Amino acid sequence: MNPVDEAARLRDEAMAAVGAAATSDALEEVRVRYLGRKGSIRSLLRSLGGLAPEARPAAGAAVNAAADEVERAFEEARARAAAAPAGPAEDVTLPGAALALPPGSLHPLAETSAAIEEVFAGLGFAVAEGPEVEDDLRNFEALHHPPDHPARDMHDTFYVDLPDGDGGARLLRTHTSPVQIRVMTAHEPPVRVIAPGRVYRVDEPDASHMPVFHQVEGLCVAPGVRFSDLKGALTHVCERLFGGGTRVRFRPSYFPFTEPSAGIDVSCPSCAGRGCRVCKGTGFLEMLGAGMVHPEVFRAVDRIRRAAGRKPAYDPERVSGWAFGVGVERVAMVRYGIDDIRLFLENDPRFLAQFPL
Amino acid sequence: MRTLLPWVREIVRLPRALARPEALRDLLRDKGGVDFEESDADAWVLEITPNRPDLLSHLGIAREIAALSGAKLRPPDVRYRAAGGDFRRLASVRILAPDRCARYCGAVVEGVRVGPSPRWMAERLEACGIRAISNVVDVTNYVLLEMGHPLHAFDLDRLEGRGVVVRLAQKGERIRTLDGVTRTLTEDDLVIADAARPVALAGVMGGEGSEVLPSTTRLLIESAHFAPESVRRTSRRHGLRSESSYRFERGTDRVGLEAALRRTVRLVLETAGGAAARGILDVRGRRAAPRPIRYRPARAADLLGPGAPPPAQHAALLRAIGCRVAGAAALRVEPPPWRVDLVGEEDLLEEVARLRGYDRAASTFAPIAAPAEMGRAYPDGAEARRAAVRRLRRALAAAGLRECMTVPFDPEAEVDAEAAVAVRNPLQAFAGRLRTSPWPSLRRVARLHLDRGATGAALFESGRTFHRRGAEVEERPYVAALLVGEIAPADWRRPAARADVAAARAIAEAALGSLGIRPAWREADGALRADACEIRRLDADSVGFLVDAEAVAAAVKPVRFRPLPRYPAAVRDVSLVVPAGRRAAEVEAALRGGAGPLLETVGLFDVFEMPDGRRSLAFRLAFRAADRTLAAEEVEAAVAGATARAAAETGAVLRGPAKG
Repeated sequence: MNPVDEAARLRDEAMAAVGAAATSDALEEVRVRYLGRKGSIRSLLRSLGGLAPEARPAAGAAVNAAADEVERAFEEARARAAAAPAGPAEDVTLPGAALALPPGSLHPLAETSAAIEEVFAGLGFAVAEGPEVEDDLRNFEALHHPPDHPARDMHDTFYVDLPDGDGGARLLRTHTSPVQIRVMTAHEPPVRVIAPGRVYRVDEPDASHMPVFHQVEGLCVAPGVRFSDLKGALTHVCERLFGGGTRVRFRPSYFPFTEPSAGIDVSCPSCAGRGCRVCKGTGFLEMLGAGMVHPEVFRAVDRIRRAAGRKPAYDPERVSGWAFGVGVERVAMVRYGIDDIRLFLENDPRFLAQFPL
Repeated sequence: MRTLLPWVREIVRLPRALARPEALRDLLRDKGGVDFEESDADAWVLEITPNRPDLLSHLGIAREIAALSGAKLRPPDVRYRAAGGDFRRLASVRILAPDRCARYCGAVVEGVRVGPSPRWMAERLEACGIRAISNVVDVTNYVLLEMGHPLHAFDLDRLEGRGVVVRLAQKGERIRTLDGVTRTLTEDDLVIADAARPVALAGVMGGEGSEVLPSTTRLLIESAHFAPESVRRTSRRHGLRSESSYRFERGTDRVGLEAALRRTVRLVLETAGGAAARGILDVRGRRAAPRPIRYRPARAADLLGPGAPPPAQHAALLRAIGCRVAGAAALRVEPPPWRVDLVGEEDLLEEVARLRGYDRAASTFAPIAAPAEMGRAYPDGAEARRAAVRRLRRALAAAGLRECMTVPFDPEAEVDAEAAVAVRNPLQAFAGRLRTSPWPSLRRVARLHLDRGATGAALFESGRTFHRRGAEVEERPYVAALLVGEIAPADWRRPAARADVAAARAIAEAALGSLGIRPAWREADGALRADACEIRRLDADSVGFLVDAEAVAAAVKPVRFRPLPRYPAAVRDVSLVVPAGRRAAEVEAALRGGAGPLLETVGLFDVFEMPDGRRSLAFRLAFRAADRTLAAEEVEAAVAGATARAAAETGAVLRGPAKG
């Protein structure tokens, strides 16, 4: 039979089968039988290579047209099935009846955040939370990012279509640091909290950047808190997260809301600090940012407290504190050896299945 | 910023300990806070944080190395012979916006020959990524890289009125900047202007009409200080960024700009010839110089903790970075003019700490003296909710579901526009609105799993939905589970099974059971609802189970022991034929109602569909009394009561005798 006739025959056959399919599985089976990689219409298309060159265009057009018709019919049947109720009216009040599912899994990012929380719980830290939709006051200004200042270039911000509030423009928070402001304006010292959460920055996705990612913030404020306490706590945390032999390095850095500011590097777990591809030969990986809370942040907190009718409680002459921030993806990538940050939010089954319960 | 080591070595004489580039790099990283993006033997690409604009030049880096190591600084030579006329007769400068311009210095050079730069200068510029253009322009760029101050050269003969003013633009004034674009100015833009028109966007870019051309012979060279916020606003407003605006918006050295000017004149004379006028124009604006900072070494040492340098050493450390220090117990510190970031006592504390070395600070642990000093959770109730969600997640994973984390944006089409919050400046693929429902993102993941060859998907996510409430947004935490298709694969013991409401209910009850919650389900428009959770069939292949995290946290019941029963239960099975359309729950409720107080449990254990639409439902009833073994008559009476009520309320007919 010539290909054009064959295409028409297969199309008619396929349409009948689509119409007759009573369940989603049957429908899918029909689709695979005709349009799958080894399906009859596809095979017919491949066989056109054996035709004389003049005959190919017409034959190809006919087979493709047939394939398109069948594809359309299949989609319509699928949509109809999806919209229709399943079989005779399902009795949803039947008791639960368990099925035997293969083992499930927890997401590596959620588990990494939980691991970080656990280390801090061991140090007497409670958990604080804040909204993801924040305002300019709590995300920037109260954290000592003045308007018209280059510090703001460090975070490209998503803005949302809510009207300005008393905290200024509404945005998606670019770090978890606004929770520091919320905790201190609500509570008096001492403060000992971590704040895990999702943050957003305008950043083209690539292997090491995503516009949506996760951080854990930490804040410890009381009379007499010292820089050496910051070093002690964070050295302990790094050792617990990356293993007992981890070396921890503190070096000067810059954050608008801390002074002195420190960047904290850990010895590369892949090579135990000897130098490898992961750490680009340096033996160390940048891991956390931290510092002593800037007095301007304390002053901003007290201004907000006073405006809300609460008494000021954060006089920089009386209290001091340290704060830190860590990227959860970064910790997870180092701990598990994951090389592409996009995998976390893609949820490919071959990725998720690698992290058993 | 590209930094050439040979150039740095000209400006600071390195001790032997710092001869190796790695040693220099370690010093700058460990004590200078300088980040290295790239480094090889002769050139570094440095990442300088916004608070250290003084490091944006070779002199700045050299100065930092000198401060950190005690090496001897050899600043560039700024001397030249002034063979020309008196500057006052050659050019004038006036500042009409004194709060935006702290100082304006100008130098005049006459009789220059504009031509190519010498090779050594062109090579250094190119190595730092700046194109060589002509000697005069190249010198200004060279000094920018060398000393960190942006300068501009005007063709003095093309300035109307032989001078410039520093003023705010008038609304609607225009300038064609050197990139060829004509810009309309606002009253907030600071400009350099001659008698007729603006000739430069101050601190950002020069204008056409007064720039140095091959025919230029007389120069007015500008070296000025412009207010950082002003330059930044102008730069943003016109979308114009330059090496110049980058430095001005971070803050420049109002004292060092004079040396930069002199260096420029010296190099112009060297490369383009000519004669420099005697003296330089130096006009001041009205921006107060920074005040001395009060610094308390003892307090600083306490704040740093053990390992801090003793208070007596702090003054010397501050002098090492160029501060003038007076006083004893409390110091009065004047930071050097290139350190625009040293504003408060805390900034000086950081200097003392880093010069000493952060590694020298001890690691201590401040003990918690009283329970009241432990952290308090925020907001109230968050900790209870997190604990509940944690347990739910574990129960769901144990039941065989895979945890996902998804991007919380849904494309416009899938979301109710009025109830959803939109992002004003979306990124492609991260666009649309913040999700108001957990299902679209989970369904996308299920689709991915099916496309990868799975026969089904069992997923869950703990996240937030976002709901517009007037001018506000309500963020609602949830846990959602989605079952799609064939979730239980076939094995040698049993066939495959597809997701349905009953399977979802079993999982939901197990998960909520781990919190001590037994949901009281009721049917409501096709879904099963209980306080805090809902199970719903989403389409022919998918069933979803949604938990409101706040509500469920409030419903958690702690485990409470119940004494073990002392007397045995009596068990009877009844098989009832139920008319079409009657719900299993209705029949069960009727059996409970009619059975009386002795009934302990009712369980449906078999369902048989009959061809005419009726169903046969088999229930196991268990009866028990707390204080005695039940007599047969009591049990039979209770069973009869149950089946009678079932018949009356649902038309269910007993099929055969009750089996005990």
